[in-house]
Amino acid sequence: MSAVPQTSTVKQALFAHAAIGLIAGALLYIVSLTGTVAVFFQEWQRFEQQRAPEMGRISPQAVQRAVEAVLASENGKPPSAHLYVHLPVPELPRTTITTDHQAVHVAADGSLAGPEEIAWSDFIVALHYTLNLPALVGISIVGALGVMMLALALSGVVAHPRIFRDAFRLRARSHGGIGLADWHNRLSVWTLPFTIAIALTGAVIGMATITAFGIGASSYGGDVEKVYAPIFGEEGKPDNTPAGAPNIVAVLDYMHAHYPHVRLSYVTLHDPGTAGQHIQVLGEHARRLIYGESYTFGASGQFHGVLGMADGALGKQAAASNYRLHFGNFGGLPVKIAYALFGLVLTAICATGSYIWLGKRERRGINQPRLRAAWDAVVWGTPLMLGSGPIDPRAMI
Amino acid sequence: MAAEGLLIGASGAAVAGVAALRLAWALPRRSFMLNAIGWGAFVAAIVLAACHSGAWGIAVASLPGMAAALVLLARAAAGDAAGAGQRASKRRTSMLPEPGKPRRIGRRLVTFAIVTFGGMLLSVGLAVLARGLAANCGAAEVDANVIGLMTTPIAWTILTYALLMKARAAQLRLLAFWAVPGLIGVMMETMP
Repeated sequence: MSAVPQTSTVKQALFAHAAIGLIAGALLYIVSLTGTVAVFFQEWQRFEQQRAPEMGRISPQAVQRAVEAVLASENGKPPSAHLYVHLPVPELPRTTITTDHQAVHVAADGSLAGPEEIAWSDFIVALHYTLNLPALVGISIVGALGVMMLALALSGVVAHPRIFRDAFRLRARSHGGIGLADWHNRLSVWTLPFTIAIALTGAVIGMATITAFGIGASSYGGDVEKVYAPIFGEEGKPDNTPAGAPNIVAVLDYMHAHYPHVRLSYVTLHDPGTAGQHIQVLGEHARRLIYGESYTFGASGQFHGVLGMADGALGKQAAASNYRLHFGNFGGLPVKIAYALFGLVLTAICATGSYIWLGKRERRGINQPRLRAAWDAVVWGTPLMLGSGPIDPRAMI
Repeated sequence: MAAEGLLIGASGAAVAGVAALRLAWALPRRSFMLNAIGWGAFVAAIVLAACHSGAWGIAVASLPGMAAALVLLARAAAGDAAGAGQRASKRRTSMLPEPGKPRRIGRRLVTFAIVTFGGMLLSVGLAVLARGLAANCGAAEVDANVIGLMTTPIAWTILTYALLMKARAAQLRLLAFWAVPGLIGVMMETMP
């Protein structure tokens, strides 16, 4: 028995590969390109708003003052469901508070230092996450694109019986389509582990809403939140009676005393300024793929417990590992550079696929200049349009 | 330091695996020994990296291996003589009609609907089944739910590939075949 697929299988796999690639190609290209740029999301934020205050650390008292100032500034507005304090970390040494109404920078003394203005960085991330469509629709389409990328990898391997044997054969300067096909095939083979990791994690993240809807409808009487609750924890019971600001000093002091080796990255207030408010602290663990461990506290700073993302059930650890494996922010700048390089390769693979197909048709005498021009516009126009954002000097404030 | 040696060793093994395969695949005849060394080095890289720091170590150690392969490719590209004279493929993939051939737009739209909507719905049904089976086999609720969430994209990938490899009648048979366990899963979970 031979492991080499039959000719008919190869032919049909090539059809499957071309069908998926041509239908999803433009969107896959945009998602790959924006994902590559977004690897440096933290660095872009610093570049885009260069005068925001930066600090190596911030005292608990300063965080408390800033949170109280933000809550006071929102008096009279509908209450925010969450208030997020981004704490300074080496990659982004800034303290920023985000609510449903605003995002503001905080100075090291806890005073508010003006609005966060990172529209271009946010645009790139939103384009990657949701194609700038309404969140539910957009993220599901991007999740489906992850599935299509996985199917492209599978059909691509089957469609090229010598794909591994020829893995180092690169006739880069051959004309008439061979060079382009070689670049496409060789780069695809050697970035296959990266492609599978990126596509699978992206597909899991993107398709989660639709899957959770199915599981929620069949197993939880239609309550989708109950699907996520065992994994990421439950929201607290709301009590909208007005209350003072929670005791963040006590929370951060507790964390520094009991978990000194955990790098704190976020403080999240649930239902801030109400009697039902409670606090969640996100702590990053070194040399783990998990995005962090969640430590929960009551409003007065009493410790409630740990969610178990770091050492709880395997399902929790797997779910928490999806994100950093996708974003490439698990090993500092070297890993980010590697992700950007491989992301660029993946983007090139998306671009060359359609050019190969157009070239085959042209060699059969079918010239379609409009189709080729449209693909040129996608391939060259997208980076040009994206790149024009940070060139605007008015954005550099 | 010994622990760091594990990660450095894993990264080195990944690079060595790529180098060994480069040698093996350049030979005129298949070399079992060199192939085994190459793939064995990859296995060693995974084991060493996992011993160092589990999934994080494997993710980190895989990167130098891929980077090394790209360096070898760049070298192959730099050493390639221009215009070697081979003829490129012009194989049809039937994605757009040839001049004078029927467009079959309706047929193409049906294929699109079968693969996207049919494949996705079926995959969600299989996810419900996977979650139910895991829960009934004693898995914790959190593990069962994560298994369910991960099943959809994997099932849809396989279905997309399998559906596009078949003609219409076989596509419908495949959908019907996999709809049965999906429906059983939904019924199993919805019935009290």
